[in-house]
Amino acid sequence: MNCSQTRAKLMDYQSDRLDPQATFEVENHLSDCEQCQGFARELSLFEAIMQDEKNHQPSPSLTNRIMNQIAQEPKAIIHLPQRRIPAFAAVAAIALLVLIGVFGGIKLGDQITSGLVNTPARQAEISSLLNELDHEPLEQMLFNLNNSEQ
Amino acid sequence: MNNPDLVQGLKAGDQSAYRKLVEIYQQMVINTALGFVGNIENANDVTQEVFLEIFRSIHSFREQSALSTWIYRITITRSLNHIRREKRFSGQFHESADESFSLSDNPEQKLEEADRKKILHNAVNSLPRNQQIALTLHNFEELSYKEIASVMNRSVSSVEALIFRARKNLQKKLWTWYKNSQL
Repeated sequence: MNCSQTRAKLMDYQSDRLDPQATFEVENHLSDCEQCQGFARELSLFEAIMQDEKNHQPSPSLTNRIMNQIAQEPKAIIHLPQRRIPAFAAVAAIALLVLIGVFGGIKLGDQITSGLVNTPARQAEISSLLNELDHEPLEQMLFNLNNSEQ
Repeated sequence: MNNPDLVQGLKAGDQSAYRKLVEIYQQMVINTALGFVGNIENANDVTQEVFLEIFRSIHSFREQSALSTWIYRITITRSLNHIRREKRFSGQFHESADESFSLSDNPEQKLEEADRKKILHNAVNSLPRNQQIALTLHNFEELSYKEIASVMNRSVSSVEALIFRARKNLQKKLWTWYKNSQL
């Protein structure tokens, strides 16, 4: 095992993650290589720092400091649980509103036009106008309408 | 007090529930923060920010994950924000020589240890973000791959790959430092 291969395995070696064969090879190389020995020593110091930071105990006053900060916060607003409308219910509601709008619009339109068109007298008047349009140029019709209004 | 009761108490604004929360989780939070920020003073600041954040946003916790998972996520976010703020103000990752937190009584060794901590945390913080998070949770918090996967919202195999790459990259960075220090 050369230096590069040994260095690649050093962190695992120090964490006891290597199989026995690999452990033997690393130890064999370290016994002959001062540079890799030096690096292994540094890695073990870094490992010791990590271990030490894992075991840090919080200061006893930290809890009180945190609670004091929380106490200074504006009172928490109690949020009512938000009921989520299922997606299909929302889609159905929107579709229903659209249908009501369309149907209502049609009905409303019918009511407006029925007042103008659906009386027999009005229908007769329109029919006569329609009949005359075939034989009368537009300008003449407009002239006649104008005269009748006067 | 089991977790559902605790969460209910937190959402109701019960001060005793918050005290209980801090007592149960402060070590977890401070150790995780320490793994990222590298010194006790900054870790304490981050810890206070985390519990304030929990107080302010407990109503957004939907209880779809474990409370601890949610707290880990807040801790990671706050820690990374802290590192970013420190970099912005100092132009580099700044760490006070934490001589009060030392493995040694020898002043020279304390200084060396402070330097070594800085080197280690600089190396970890220079890893790609996901490798940094996975490695810190694994090495400093000793979470299992499954727990890390839950915190990071990734698969276990993805976390294994991240930690493998992180360790290799960290080893390369530390080797580069060591080689240069010998010149």
